[in-house]
Order: sequence, then structure tokens, then C-alpha cells
Amino acid sequence: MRRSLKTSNIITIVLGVLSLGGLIYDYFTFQYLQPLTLTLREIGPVAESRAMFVAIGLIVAFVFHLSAIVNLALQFHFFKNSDLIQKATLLVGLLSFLCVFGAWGLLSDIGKEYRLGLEIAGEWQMLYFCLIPLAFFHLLMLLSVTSTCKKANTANVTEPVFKEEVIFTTVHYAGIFCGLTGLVLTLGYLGFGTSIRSLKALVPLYTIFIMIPYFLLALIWLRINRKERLAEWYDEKQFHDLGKAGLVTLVLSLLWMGLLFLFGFFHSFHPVGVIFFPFHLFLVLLVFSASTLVFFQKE
Amino acid sequence: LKFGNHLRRFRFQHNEMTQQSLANAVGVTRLTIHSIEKGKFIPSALLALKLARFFNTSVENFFYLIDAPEET
Repeated sequence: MRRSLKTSNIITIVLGVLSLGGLIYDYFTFQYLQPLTLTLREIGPVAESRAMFVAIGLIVAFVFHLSAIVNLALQFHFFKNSDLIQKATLLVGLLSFLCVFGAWGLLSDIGKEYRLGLEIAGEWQMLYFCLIPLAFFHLLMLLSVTSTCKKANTANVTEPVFKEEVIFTTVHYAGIFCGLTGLVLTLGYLGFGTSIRSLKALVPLYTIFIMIPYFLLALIWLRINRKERLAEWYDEKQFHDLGKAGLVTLVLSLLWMGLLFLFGFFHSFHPVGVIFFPFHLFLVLLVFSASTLVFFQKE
Repeated sequence: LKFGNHLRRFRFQHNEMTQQSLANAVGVTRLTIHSIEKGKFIPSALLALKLARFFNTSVENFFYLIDAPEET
């Protein structure tokens, strides 16, 4: 485990530095492109090549986030604990991960609307706003990894933990975050009256993107437990709590999905067919993760 | 009837053993031990026997039933 953590630390630091460099480059490129696009002036081939490097920067940022999430999970597992700063780093990381997706979408919108000669001031403001959590997470993560490098060499874990619970709770915290974000986004698109055609393009994209951190953490949890028999994956209280959470999820999702069915049944506007699956997925994820944590941590 | 236990007392008599060490010894999480001590979680017969065996005692010495006051 110490070796995996060290390897992950090195990869995360290298990617973090590259990604931070990319972020700074993106910021100055935005500063250069914004006045050109706002006044609908022609952007030359130099500006277009700079925009391409922005896309590369975002891809590096995406990979860095994946590496950072894995690194945080390994830190939790190695030190058998997670302090408030580590938890906050994970939360900012999940938010920042979504901002990579947001920045990509906004740049795509700016490009399209610029070609059509539409107003894009709002998109630029949102794009700059996306950079704040991104920059904050890069700094937090680089600090966290460098301090982990020092601790991992000297740390003697005071007491071994044979039955994992830190990753178990982390996966469920991620479930709450991803479920809630997905629901807010789905309801937001529905509330803004997004056309069914646009929904069909957006829904698979953001569903996959939002679920990535959750699946990543769940995979790490599976990797940690891979040598255990299925019956040993959880202890008996965890099984008990998961059972109760499953019942709560079943009841609430049936109720919620019934309402959605009625909405689709009686309305001429039928986005239900498109949003049915992500809505169910995010709702189940949110309710299941939240209720599992409530039952598990109830004293 | 309610379920009571002397888990905390046994743990302290056993060199002030931590919840985590006991959890490791019987293969559960620390929170499970904590919940049993608080009376919020009733362990399975298997876990009760494991705990009793660990402290070298019988289940009856370890767990007990509390008569709830009768409702009038």
C-alpha cells in the first residue's frame, strides 16, 4: 500500500504541476480571446491554435482530477483516517471535477454562439467562475500530496484496521455529492425548458461525467476488498445498515418515479422519456448513500 | 425487553483495550463495537460468541436482558 501511495503521489504531483500550468495558460488565453469574441472581431489562426492548447489543458486537468481522487482514497486507506482538510479537499475536488466538464461545455457554447454572432458575456463570466474551484483544488491537492509524501515515509500507523470503514464512508459521501449534482442538473435542464433534442445530447454526457468520481472510488473500494469473500466485504452492522438503506431507497424511489410517470402521462411535453434513467440513477444514488451513512453513523 | 451488555467494562478490564483493537480481533468495524456498547445495535449470535470467546467468558456474563417497565 505504501508503494501504491508513493507511485500515486508522484503521478499526482507531475499531473498537478502540468495541469496548474495549463490552468494559468487557459486564464491568459481567455483574457486574450474574450475581448475579441465579445466584439465579434475575427480571431486569427494564432488565436485558434491557442484555443487548441486550452483544450489540451482541460484534458490534462481531467486526468489530474482522476489521479487526485485515486490519491485521496489511497491516503484515506493508508492513514486509516481522514481529517477535515482531506475531506474538504475531496469535496472541492469533486466540485472542481464538475467544473472541468462545465468549462468544456461553456467553451463549446462560446465557440458556437460566437460563430452565430450571439451575446456571450454571460458564458465568459461563468467560465471564469469555473476557474476558481479548479485553481483552489490544484493548490489544496498539491499541498496535500506533498505533506503525504513526508508523512508516508515516517508514519507508523498507530493501530492497524482490519475492517475497512473510511473508504466505505468516502464512497457514500461521493454518492451523495454525485447524486445531488445529477438531480440538480437534471431538474435545472427540465426547469429551463431545454428542448428534447438538446436533452438527448446532454443527458448521456453529463450522466457519465458525474458518475465517474463515484465509480472511481467504488472501484478502489472493490480493489481493497478483492481478496475477501463476498460475505466478508462488509461487517454485520454494515450489512444491516445497507439493508435498511435499501428499503428506504425502494420506498422513496417508487414514490418519486410514480410522480414522474404521472407527469409524463398527463403532459404533452414529454422529456420524461429522456430524463427517466438519469433521474432514477441520481435519486437512488443520493437516497441510498445518504441513508446508509445516516444508519452507519447513528449512535 | 431491552438488550444490555458489559462490553465496555470487559474492554477496560482487558488492559483498557481500544474499540479498534477489539474490532480487529473479532473482524468488525470500530463503529460496530461502538454501536453495540451504546446499545444501538444488537449483534448476531456469531458475533456475540466471538466477543465472549475473546474475553474468555460466556455469552450470559456478557450480554443480559433489561426488563422494560410495564405500560399502564
